Amino acid sequence: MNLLLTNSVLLPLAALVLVPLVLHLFARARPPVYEFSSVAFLRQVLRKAIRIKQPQSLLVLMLRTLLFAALIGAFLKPVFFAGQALPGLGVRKDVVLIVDATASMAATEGSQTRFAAACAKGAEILNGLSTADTANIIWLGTPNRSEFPQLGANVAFLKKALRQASVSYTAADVTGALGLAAGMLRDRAAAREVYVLSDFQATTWNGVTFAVPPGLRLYTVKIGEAQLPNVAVTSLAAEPARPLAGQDVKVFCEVQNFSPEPAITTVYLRAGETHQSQEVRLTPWQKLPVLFQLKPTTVGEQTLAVALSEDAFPADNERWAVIDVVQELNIGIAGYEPETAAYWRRAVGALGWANAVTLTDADLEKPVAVDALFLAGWAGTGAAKERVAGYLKQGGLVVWFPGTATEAGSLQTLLPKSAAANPGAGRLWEKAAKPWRLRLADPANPMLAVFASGTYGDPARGTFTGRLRLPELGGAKPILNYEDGQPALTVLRDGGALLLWNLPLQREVSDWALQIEFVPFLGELILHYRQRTAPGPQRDFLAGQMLARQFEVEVLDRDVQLRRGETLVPVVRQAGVRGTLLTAPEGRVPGVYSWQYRGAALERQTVNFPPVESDLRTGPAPDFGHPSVVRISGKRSLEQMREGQPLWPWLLAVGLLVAGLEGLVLMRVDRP
Amino acid sequence: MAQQQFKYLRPEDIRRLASYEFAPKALVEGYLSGRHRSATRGTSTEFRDYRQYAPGDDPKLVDWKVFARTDRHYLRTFVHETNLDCHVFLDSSASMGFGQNPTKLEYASFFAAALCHLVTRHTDRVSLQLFDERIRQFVPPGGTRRHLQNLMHLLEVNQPGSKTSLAASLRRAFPLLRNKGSLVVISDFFDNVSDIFAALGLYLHRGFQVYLFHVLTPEELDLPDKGLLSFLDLEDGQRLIAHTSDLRRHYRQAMEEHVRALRELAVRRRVGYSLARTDTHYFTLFDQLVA
Repeated sequence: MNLLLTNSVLLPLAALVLVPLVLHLFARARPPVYEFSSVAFLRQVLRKAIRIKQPQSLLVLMLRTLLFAALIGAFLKPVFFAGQALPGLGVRKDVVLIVDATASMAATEGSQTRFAAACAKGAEILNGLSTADTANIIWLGTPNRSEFPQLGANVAFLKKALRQASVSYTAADVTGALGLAAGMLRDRAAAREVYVLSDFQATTWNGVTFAVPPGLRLYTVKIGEAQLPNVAVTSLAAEPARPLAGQDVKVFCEVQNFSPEPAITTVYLRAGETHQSQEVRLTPWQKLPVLFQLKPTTVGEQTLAVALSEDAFPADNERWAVIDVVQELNIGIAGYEPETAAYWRRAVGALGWANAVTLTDADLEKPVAVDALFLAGWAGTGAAKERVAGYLKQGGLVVWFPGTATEAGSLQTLLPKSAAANPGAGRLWEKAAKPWRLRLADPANPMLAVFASGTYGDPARGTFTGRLRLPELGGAKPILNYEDGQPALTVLRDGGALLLWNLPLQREVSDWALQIEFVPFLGELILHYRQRTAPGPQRDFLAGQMLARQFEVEVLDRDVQLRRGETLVPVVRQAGVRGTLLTAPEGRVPGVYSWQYRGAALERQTVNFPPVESDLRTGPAPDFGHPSVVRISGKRSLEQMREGQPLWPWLLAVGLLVAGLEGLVLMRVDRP
Repeated sequence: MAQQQFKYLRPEDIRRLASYEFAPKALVEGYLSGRHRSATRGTSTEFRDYRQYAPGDDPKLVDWKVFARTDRHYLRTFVHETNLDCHVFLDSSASMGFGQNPTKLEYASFFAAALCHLVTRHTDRVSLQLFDERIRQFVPPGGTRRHLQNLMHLLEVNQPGSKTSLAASLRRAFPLLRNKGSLVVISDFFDNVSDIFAALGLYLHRGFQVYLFHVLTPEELDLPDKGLLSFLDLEDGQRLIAHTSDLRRHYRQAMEEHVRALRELAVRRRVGYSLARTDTHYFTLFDQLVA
């Protein structure tokens, strides 16, 4: 605790505090004489009264002394500094400002955003530094970014950075920022101070722990007090993400009410020339799924934009997704078992909306970019194993016929852990003199719905004299079984869909491929189980994630552009052995970004608002359970901490209060 | 007397007193036939009682008709109408000098003078006793104009004296009063109430009709708020420094208690009591005395 007297020259006035006591003592010395008829009678009365009057007189004397003390104190204008050294006493400081630049700081309170208020507070702190002090700013976000690599004395630059800064619309990495600040201040000789200027958004700061290093003083400055209501679009997805032209597309989005009050809003969908809207009513804190249906007819990339009616926090009112409307699907067929692959290829070609792409071993060693992957006679070994597993993990459809030479152990290559079983030993292939027939294992399976009427025949028609003897697989859902219960076509989910194809198509063991049902069955299988998300590299990003695009060949900087609307976004080129990787470090503003090569559109990518930032509820400034952490909140607190708390208004108020009390006491004393 | 003007008995007061008559309720003991009934038997037209003849009685008072019927001598007795003795005790202690325009003593003197005038106007007799801690003056009862002039002169030259000792003065004065009658005590009664009534008991036992006139100024009834004062006792010169605000409430309560005690004891002992505020006219006090 530190106290500074602004008018210390008036300190001798403090002696005046004795005035009431002196008056009390000397006023009794020479009172006017009053002749009275019977003092003896008065004396009797006085003896009775004095027992009550004595404490009352002392109380009045005390109150008057206190009144004088308060008034004199007010004239001396004391200033109180809590929990810190007095400024301007030669204590050099090293200061790091951690300014919250996350999306929630874009919320507007009053006439300015929380971020603007934080920057203003930061400027106040910097203004309080002396020329000997050093400082730095860390922008809290993802990733955390500092203005200087280390602390610097160029405070003017930091002030300019505060004036020019903008919200990053990213989520926060709190622990990283605090650690970065602590690292910058490690081994510094001066007084080390870290100021965290944030709204302390509850979803971000709850549960954050930080071990404050010894000797470090941490100030948590709370920006914004209001619990702002907000309605946000928290997710957007299209299914399928790579639809065929004219195919129905379901657009799922989720709208959440982040307020304790019910809300009514309108959800707008814009997809090319199509505009749809739905009015939704949200109960407090409700998350409501909203479904739109589209039938895109134009081939090519199409941007879906979902928006809400305007509210107090518009940053999260819009969300984007890109769908790739295609004329035909690319079905990759790897033909290790040529006859089966040939039947598949022929059937795919007959579908009309699918294109069979023959894949070699070399193709499988690169990232797989097809809508479905058919592996005929693949033994589950070799370099392709990881690529296929990766493709499956990304949600792809893999139809795998292990082949007649498959060993039992090879099945483990792609099987999910839940399906792991004791496969036994030896080859799985078996033959029978009497042909096996099929039956529908799950007639309710949606992919079989088209066959329910019988128009497209019976998919279980056909006979087999050879098959794989598969072990029992946990979690497997059979579509077709042999009559003896052996699975013929089984679905295993692990990210995408793995269809274990135990339906040999070789003419010598099966006539199933010759049935008219074979082509529609294969078509339904592809449409139903194909990859729900678009194949290929990531296209949807959250603000804060770095936009990137891999080019298979080396490209020049001038040839590639990244645009957000009409705005050109700088990209960074990283040449590698596999072509060129272009990244956009500043691509953190939500929106639709378009990669262009020599002016021609290559690909669209979207950056969306992080849903965790939509909940604008703030919490108290944390103290991390450490005594050196000072929590500062309220409009004047920071100024008070820097310039001290002037106590004269309080002393004046105390004086008035004491005067009032004295009046009350005297009124009670004098009451007849 | 009309030609001579006294300080405490002004012509206008005498004119106003013409409509008043002093007529105490109690029987009196006197030696002149007058307007007042006496407890003694005497000559008058109003029959009182019979009693047996005793040697020395006037034979003309014997009721011969009774003697004829009973063969015994009985005397007829009649109510004795006699004159009244009014004894005025005026407190002249230093405390009676308190007050302004008039002081308590002046106020009491006005009242005493008017009372003396009323008494002597109808051949009754009045005595006057001025006392403080001792009896300073005693004028035996008299009913003449000369006597009244003496009393007026005595009142005019009277000055506040020393301490009050009402009880002691009453005891000392008792042997001086030969005939019972009315006893009018005019004082501020700054004395112990029990002692006062113990002293009055002598008079009451003998049959005196006692009237107490408690003379107080408004300042004594309600202490003025004058801040810190050095109170100087008019009687003994003692000083007391006190703040009036510290005292007022308790003083008022104590004074009310004192007056109440006097009034209660007076009622219990069948003594007339009247609070005489110096800011009211003393004529109102006669309401306590007239029949």
